[in-house]
Amino acid sequence: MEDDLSRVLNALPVLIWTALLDGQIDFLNRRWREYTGLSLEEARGSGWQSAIHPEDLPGLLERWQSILASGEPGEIEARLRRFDGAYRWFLFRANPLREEAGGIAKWYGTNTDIEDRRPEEEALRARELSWRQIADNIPGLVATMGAMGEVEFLNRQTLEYFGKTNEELKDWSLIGVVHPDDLPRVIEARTKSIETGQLYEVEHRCRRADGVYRWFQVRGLPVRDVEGTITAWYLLLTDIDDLKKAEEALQSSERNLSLTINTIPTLIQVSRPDGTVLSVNQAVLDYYGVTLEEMQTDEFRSRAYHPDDIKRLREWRREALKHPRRFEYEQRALGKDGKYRWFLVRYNPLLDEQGRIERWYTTAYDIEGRKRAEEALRSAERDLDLIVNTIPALAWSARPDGSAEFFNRQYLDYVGLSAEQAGGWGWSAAVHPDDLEGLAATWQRIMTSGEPGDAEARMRGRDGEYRWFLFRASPVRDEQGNIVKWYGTNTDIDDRKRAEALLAGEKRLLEMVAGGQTLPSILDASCRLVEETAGGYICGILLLDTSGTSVGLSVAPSLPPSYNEAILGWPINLDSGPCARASVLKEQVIVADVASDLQWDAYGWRPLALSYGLRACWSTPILSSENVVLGTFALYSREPGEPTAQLQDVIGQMTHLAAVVIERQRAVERLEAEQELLDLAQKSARAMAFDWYVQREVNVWSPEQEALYGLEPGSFDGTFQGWKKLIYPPDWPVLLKAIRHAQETGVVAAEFRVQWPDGSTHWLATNGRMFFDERRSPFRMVGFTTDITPRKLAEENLRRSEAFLAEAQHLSSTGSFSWRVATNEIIWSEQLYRIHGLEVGAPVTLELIRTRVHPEDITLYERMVEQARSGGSDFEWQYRLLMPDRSIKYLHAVARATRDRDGGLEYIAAVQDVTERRLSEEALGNLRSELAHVSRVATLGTLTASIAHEINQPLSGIITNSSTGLRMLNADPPNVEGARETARRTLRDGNRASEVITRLRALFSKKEAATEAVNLNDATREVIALSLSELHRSRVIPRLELAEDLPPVTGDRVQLQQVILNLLRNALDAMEGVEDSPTPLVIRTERDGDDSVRLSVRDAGVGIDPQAAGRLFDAFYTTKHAGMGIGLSVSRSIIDSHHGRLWATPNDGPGATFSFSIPCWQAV
Amino acid sequence: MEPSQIRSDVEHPLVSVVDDDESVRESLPDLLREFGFAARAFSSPEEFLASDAFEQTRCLLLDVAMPGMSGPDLQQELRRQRKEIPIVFITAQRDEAVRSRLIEQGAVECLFKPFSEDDLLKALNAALRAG
Repeated sequence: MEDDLSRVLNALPVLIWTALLDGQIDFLNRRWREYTGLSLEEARGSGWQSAIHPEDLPGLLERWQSILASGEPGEIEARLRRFDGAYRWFLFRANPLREEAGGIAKWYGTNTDIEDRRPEEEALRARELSWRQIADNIPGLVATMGAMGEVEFLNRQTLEYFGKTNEELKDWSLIGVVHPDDLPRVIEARTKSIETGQLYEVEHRCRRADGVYRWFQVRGLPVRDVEGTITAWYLLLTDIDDLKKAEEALQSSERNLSLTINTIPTLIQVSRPDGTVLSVNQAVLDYYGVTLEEMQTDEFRSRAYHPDDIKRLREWRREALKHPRRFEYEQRALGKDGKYRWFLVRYNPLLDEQGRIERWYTTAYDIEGRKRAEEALRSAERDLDLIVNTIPALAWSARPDGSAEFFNRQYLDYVGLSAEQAGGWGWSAAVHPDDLEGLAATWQRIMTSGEPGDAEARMRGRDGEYRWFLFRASPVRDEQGNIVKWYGTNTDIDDRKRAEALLAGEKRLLEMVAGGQTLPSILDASCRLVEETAGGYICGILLLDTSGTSVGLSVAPSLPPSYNEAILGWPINLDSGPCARASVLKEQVIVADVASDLQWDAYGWRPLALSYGLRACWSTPILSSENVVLGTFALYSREPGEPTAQLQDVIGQMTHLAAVVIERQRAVERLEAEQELLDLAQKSARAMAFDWYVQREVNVWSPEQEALYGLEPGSFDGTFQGWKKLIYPPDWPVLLKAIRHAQETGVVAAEFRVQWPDGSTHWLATNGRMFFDERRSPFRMVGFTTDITPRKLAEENLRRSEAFLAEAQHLSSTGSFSWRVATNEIIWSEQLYRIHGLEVGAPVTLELIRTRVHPEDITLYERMVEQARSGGSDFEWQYRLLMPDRSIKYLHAVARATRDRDGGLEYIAAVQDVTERRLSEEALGNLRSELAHVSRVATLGTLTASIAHEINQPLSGIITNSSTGLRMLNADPPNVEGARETARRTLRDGNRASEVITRLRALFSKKEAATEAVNLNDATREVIALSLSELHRSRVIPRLELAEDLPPVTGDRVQLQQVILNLLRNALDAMEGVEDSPTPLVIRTERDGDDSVRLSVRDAGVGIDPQAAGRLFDAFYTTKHAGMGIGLSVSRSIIDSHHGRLWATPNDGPGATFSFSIPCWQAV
Repeated sequence: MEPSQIRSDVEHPLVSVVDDDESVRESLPDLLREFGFAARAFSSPEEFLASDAFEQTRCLLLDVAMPGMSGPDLQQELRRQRKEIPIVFITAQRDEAVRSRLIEQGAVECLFKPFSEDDLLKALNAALRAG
């Protein structure tokens, strides 16, 4: 193509060049090279500059650069050197060639000889040269003709070309000059021009002198006189032979193109703007087996195209044809073989200069193969869909971004979501919250890696239960290797997970065994392990006692301790319970529904189990390696039912494991016990032993034995008398008696006291054996002695305690009772009879007690009895008795629920007569409020200023009025009426003063204010502590928001506490009657600026009446029914004297906040 | 202005009483009139400033503490308006510190309620001399 272009450019009779974007010339056509005499190699790049006149070069280059920079066409004139060294003026023209996108692809330029047009020279030449000379110098063939076509003048070049003289060419016969083939056209054109006076223009071949025909473009311009009549014709003959040759080449290549088009298998069609067919290539005709004419009929269209496609595409195509834009569609076309094939049909518009559609070039590619592949794929997808939905796994697919687009039926069935709900990231709702983050991270990692990967997580089934799944994902890639999709499966690995967990748990248990943990703690862990593994079940392990007749240990960590306590000691037989039966039968016992299985009533197991919410029990015996029952392993369910096979596995494993653990632990314990015994025996033998050879009076004592008698080692003399001296004399007879007993039986046993050298007595017990000689005389006594002082003391204490208890009950007014709920058997202590004012020993019944209970507390009493019967838990209550003498007793009972020997519920309770305490509490409460009142009054000393103000006002009125009155009476004449008025006012002001005094009657003392560093937080806490009873009565719990690091303030602690108390009391009063306040009373301390501290009390009370706001702090102003109205006034006085300020603000919500701010403590 | 009023102004200088206490407003003007002054009473500085007495007052008997504008506030306001009315403060709060501060700030006197006839007269005379 490039070559073709070069060829064309080379053929053009114009100086042409092309340049790259940077201005480097990369091509100059042959005419340019011939003109300058430079070769392509010499001129290319910047070499062409050598052909430019040196004076013009800088300007030219500058201009060239600016054209390049602007990207717009441009021109400049400069002198170009001809091959012979002569310079001629040329117009250099440059045009950018733009790509479709608008960017410049290349520069094209022409150099046009304008030497003759240079204006200054033109004038010169006009003067110097004749027309002939001009004509002779025109680089072309020029001729003039008369009005009728007769030749008048031919320039030199013309004569030279034809090789004829002017005279020879005068009678221009054309024959022998014009190519015979062209002659008719030439004559026709000339005749027409002469007749019409129009521009004459024709291309024809002219015969050169050497006989060669060359193509010329001949243009004839008519020359008219003033009347417009043609007087002559000027003819210009331009040699266009090269151009013609190029065109011919082009035409031939067009023919080639056509040939190509007709041979390629693509169907090509050219159509009018409205889409009607103009021409098609051979492939089209071959495919349809028709002629072009047949194709152009409407009938063809409806026959050749698939009816569905016609329907589908008709309107759409008609619309698309209206727009000058490329479009395409797919349709089926009927071939001559009678079969439809799919084609991709593409319309490309050919636009004219105005952008209108001139032609549509249409190609149709056979895409039948692709379509078939697609169809196959679709069908494969359908199959896949079928497979995916039938495989017994949860399958899904996701988009490259990880969001899910498909789930198989099993998946949706399992999670109980619709495809819409699960789509995108909706599925994640079914993932266990604890696993979600990890799963998301792994999924992200897998997607990033682009490699298959997996993760484990729990998914919730539609039944709400979580199961473990293995999430596996693999990418599907397109041909370019891009991931187009992820396919994944979720495999249920719950069983495996459980097995793993069980295994890990077993390992843990065995480690516990090895680590020497106690059996109960190991069994506890075993139960928890099973509960974790099985999920939703309760596990219990029973161990038989050594006799095998009752429960020796019960471990069930998920049941309340009371259950295990109740089971402890439970008899083991066929009917006493499933675990017991399993132990007896040595086989598993299944109780599928506890509620309906009445065979477990005999020993009360059924109600017991039901009371703990156990609805099913599956008990399996734990057998030792010798097939001896060690205990049972039981699973309980809150729902009736039988164990699943999976659970049975777990039970089997755990039962075996429990047997191993228990046996091993028992062995260890036995070993340890034996070892201990051995140690003890050895120690005893060695340590506190004596060996008395009775006849020889040799008594050998170990140092430990000596220590028991308070002797230094080796200081015992070994004699009978020496020993006797050590015995606490009152106990000697006991020993003599023991010795006599030993002489009869050989058994030595005695408990006695010894007196140590320091005078203290110690209890000893001696045990041993007496040996006899053949005459049955004792000769040796061996034994050991132990210190039993602590035990003896304990026994002593117990005796004493028992004696004391009765006394204590009496003294503390505390009675006790026991109550067997099942039998209503109630036993009272003596003191309890006394408290109730009943005869000691009288049979006690609930009815009897009821007669003593205060009528107002009867309901409470009955509710308590009811609760105690059903509950089985500890309780505590307070109630009153109404005694026959109408006196009231306050009782406080605390009862503890226990089990009696038969497993029945029994309460053991203490009942205290708290009447005195209650009365004294009430008295204390009264006293406290008195104190508060006094305290309030006491600080009124600080009110002096306010008081003075209140009294001075009326006093001022009294004095002024009196003065006025006197003056009025002294006037001449006396103003009696005026004086009467002043006297009336005096009276009124006097009364006013009196009122003030009345209200102040309680205020008497004045206390000097101390100045010290006061911590407001501590002060606040003390006030709260002092006010607790009042706060409780008000049912208000204040919230303290005390700033840490609060600096101390300067002031009088008591006065400031009075302010806090006043504000607190003010808040409580304001909140009185405001029910269920959402915001509590808040007392807050904080810094107020750099040098002050603020305390505020925020209440949720009735708030501040705006009208009263201004008077809040006035003395004796009060909105309360009770109170003197001096609290806030006093507070303000106190705070004023502390150089602080006190103010109130309404809250945003309910209530008001009272605050004061006082300066921080300044250490001197 | 009528000639008689001018005379009356000269012979009976107007003393205005500003006090929020009603008994003071009732009793004090009567006494002042007995002394031979013209007297008017106002319950607040605002009321006084809004009245025509403002121009004619020769002496002001002014309470210290009042709701809204206080006595010293009125003193400030008068100074701002360049009205040099001699002021005698009357207060029920016996506080020497306050008294000396008020006098320092230009008051002729500060009387503590209750005050005697003599003290009042002395203060008024001093005020009228000052005016």
